[in-house]
Amino acid sequence: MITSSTLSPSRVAAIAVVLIAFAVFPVLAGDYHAQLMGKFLVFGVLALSLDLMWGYTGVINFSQATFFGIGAYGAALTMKYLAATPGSSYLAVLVAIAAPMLLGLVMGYFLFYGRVSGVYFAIVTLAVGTIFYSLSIVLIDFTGGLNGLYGFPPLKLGIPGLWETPLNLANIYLVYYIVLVATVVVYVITRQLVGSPFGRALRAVKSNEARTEFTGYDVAALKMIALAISGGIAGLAGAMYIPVGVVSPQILGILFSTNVIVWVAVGGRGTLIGPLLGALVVGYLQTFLSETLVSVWLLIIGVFFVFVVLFWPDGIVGFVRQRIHPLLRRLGGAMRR
Amino acid sequence: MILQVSDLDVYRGPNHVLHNVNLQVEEGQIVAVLGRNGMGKTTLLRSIVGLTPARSGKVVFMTRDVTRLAPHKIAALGVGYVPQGREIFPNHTVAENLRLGRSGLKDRSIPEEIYRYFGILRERASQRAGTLSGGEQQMLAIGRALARRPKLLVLDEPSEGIQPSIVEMICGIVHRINKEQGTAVLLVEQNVDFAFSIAHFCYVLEKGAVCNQGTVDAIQDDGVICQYLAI
Repeated sequence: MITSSTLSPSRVAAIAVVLIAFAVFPVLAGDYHAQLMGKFLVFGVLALSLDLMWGYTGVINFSQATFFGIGAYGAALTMKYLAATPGSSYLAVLVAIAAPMLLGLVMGYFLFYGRVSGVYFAIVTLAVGTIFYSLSIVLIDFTGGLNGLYGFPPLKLGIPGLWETPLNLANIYLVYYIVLVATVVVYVITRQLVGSPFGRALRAVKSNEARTEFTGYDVAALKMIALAISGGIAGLAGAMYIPVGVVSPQILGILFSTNVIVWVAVGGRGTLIGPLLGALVVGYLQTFLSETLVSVWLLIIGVFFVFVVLFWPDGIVGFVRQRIHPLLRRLGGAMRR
Repeated sequence: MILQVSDLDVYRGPNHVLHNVNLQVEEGQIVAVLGRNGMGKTTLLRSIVGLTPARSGKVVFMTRDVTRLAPHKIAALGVGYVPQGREIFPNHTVAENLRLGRSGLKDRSIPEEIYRYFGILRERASQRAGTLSGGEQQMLAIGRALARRPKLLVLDEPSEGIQPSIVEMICGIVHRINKEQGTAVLLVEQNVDFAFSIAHFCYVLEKGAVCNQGTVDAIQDDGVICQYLAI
């Protein structure tokens, strides 16, 4: 299931099995689980967006959810005010991607060229997150405040004027498959990106900024562009969240941003597939623990996180690569004999 | 003249590290900067490539004033910097390290001559650079600097921490690069034999100031080695 740049027949088979499993999942599991899995896949894309910054460029963002929330609110507000315009759904998705990208560019320009990095950059991201959280509550006429944004027309899939179908809970299977396809597409594109010369340069930045600088790269520009792309992906996830969740200030907040960090850490930083996995694992853990162990589930999540950081610093993917893969290889070798 | 350093004063925090340094590198010349530990040799190179800002003075590279220019722009102009301690990217492969040297260029292919000089790099192309030996990493670092076909190669103690046989090999290769490509070289070395075997001209730094300069023969005649470089 762990993808890499080499596509051997066994790898292709493994990927195919996983994709088929995800494809038949809603049919086997029903509406409730389709919505839940759809939500977690959206979280997976959000986690992936943080991995691009944290895992590949080496810059941590403590309010990645801000990009996500701006995307969700941006798309929702576009639908609220511009639903009559033909193609409004597509415009909404465009806004969801462009608005956080713009924020990323502006933040990146002033912070990275201003040589604000490391801890100081992290603090600024906390501040930015708090600002937008406050805005979403204060601008109650636009955003619905703490109650969240409701009553706007749903995103629609199709050709405006000819045929359209709404993406909401009534169409949960359609929503699930759109989210699944989008997740796979985003993953493939991001995988290509980190394998490109640009991706190579980002990894060099993570390794050592001064070294990358004298090798001939404008490190500030690289980080700024990475932040913008990261924001765009998170914003797209925000738009996808609308049919599977509630658009409320919570999704912009620092607490939710911390969740994103946990997903990436648990899954495995700098692997792309790890964060996707981490979002699913932690998401399900959180859902079932909060149902069965109503009072202590948060404690268990906390302990689990500490456990991962202490014993599995490379996350689940790291653990599988270091322990399981050699085991499987030896097993395979033994069976061949 | 490919590089001219005029009246360069550099501070590191409160410490006045370089005093009024004047230095020149002609086209196709190999210039060595000698001196004991802590005399400011590395700071001099870092100022030239833009990593350490100068307090006053000028650095002119190929008629362009680069004193306040960012390091990546100086690299793009044609300065290949190989710092002390190799500074390769350990988690990238050998090939990726070399390709990174082609920063900002559309054509990412590695110039063939780099593999002619350092055959081992072709053999180890898909190996993680962090797993190479010290000597191989040094060759990779020089190879990466050569990837952009620089006009000036700046080497900070290329022989440090490397076994003598490899040092000799690298010495020969730097000499070849200078002869075949016409690349000028600015070299900081504590290994006086290395420097004397290939340099055309030498500067001696003592406590951040140039105390002596001349051709290799002149330096050797003056007994400079005993005075400034011996223990």
